[in-house]
Amino acid sequence: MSNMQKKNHATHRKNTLDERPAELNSKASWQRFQNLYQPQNSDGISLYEWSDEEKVTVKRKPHQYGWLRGLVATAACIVLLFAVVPELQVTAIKVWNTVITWNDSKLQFGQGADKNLNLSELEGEFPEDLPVEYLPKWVPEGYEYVETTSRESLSFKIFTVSFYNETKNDELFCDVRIWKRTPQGNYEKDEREVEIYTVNGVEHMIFYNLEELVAVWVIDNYEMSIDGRISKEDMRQMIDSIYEKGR
Amino acid sequence: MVKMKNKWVCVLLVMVIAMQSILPVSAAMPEADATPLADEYFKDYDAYITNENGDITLEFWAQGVSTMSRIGAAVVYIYERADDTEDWRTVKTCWQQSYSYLCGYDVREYGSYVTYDGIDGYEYRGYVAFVAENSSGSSRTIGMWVYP
Repeated sequence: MSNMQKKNHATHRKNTLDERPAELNSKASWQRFQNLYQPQNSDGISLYEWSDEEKVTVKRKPHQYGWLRGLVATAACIVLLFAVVPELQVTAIKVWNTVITWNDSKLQFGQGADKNLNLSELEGEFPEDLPVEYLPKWVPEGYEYVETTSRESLSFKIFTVSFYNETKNDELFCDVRIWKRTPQGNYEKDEREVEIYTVNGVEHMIFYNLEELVAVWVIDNYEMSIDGRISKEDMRQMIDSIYEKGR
Repeated sequence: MVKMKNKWVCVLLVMVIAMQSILPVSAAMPEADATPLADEYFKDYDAYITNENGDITLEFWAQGVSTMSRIGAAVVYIYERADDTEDWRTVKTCWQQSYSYLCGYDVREYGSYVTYDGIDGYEYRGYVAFVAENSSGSSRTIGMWVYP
C-alpha cells in the first residue's frame, strides 16, 4: 500500500491524525459536522428531537376529541369512586311524599323535608288508642301476642305491639309512629337489596338488618314498621293482611 | 406522552381528594362508629334540631332490635355560631352520667330531648352519640350530626 493510499483511507486513524493541519478550524469543523450528522429541514430546524429544544417550535396538533377523552376519563374516575366507597352507592326514590334513600348500611327518609314542628294539619292530641287499621291481621305460625306499649315524645307517639315465638325463642314487633311533623327515619340495614312491595297503592320497603327482616312504610303522618326473624314470604303475607277485608 | 400521563394522574388525585373531602367527616365525630354496615343492636335511630327564635330543641330517639338493658344517647352536644364566618363552639354538653333521662333501661325504644336558650339569628347544630347495650353488657355507640 502506497503512502497516498494510506492518506485517503478513512479508517487509517493514525495517518489521518498525523496529517491534520497545524491549526484546527473549529468553525469549519462544526459546519461540516452539522452538514453530515445534523441535517435540517427547509426551515433550518434540526430533524432530530435531541437538537436544541429552544429552537424547536413544533406545534402540536390539538386532539380533535380532547374534551371527549377528558369527559370519559372523569366519568371513569367517578364510577371507580362509587365502586369503592359504599357511602356513595345511594339509591333514591320519591314515595310517601318524601325522598327515600338507601345504601349498603342505611335506609333514610324525611331528611331535608319540612321539619317544622306543629304543622297546622297535624296539631292536636295524639290518639289514645292503637290505630289497628295500620296493623297486620295475621302473624306467622307460632307467634303469640304479648303486649302493646306506647310512648309519647315531643313530635310523635309510638305504639309497639310485640309477639313471641316460644319454640324459636324469638320476638316479632309491629310499630306505629304517629307524627306531628313530617315523618323521618334512619333505619339500619345490610348490603342486601331493598324490595319495594306495593300493596293497595302503598310502597313497603322490605330489607334485611343482619338476621332481622324489616318492613317500613308511611301513610300521611303515620309511619309503620315490622321487624323480626321471619321469612320474606311471611313478611309479605303480614303486609297483605293489613289491607285484606274480612280477616 | 409522559407529560400527558402525569396530567391525568394529577387530575385523578385531585378528584380523589375532592371526593374524600365531601364524604362524611367521620374523623371529626367524637366517639362514634361512623358507617356501620347494619347493626345487631339498633333497628333505627334519628334526631332533629329546631330553632324557634333562639329556643333550641334537639329531640332524639332510638330503637333496638329487641329489649335493651340500656338504649338512648350517651352524650348530646349543641353547637352555636353567629354566622358562617365563625367557628362552631360547644354551648351545651349533656352526658348520660349526669343527665339520666338521656337513656332508657330495659326497653326496646327510647327517646328524649335537650333544650338550650340560644340567641335569635344565630346558627345551631347538634351531635348525638347513640348507645345501645344488651343484657350481656356489650354495647354499641353510633354518632350522628344533627342539622336544622
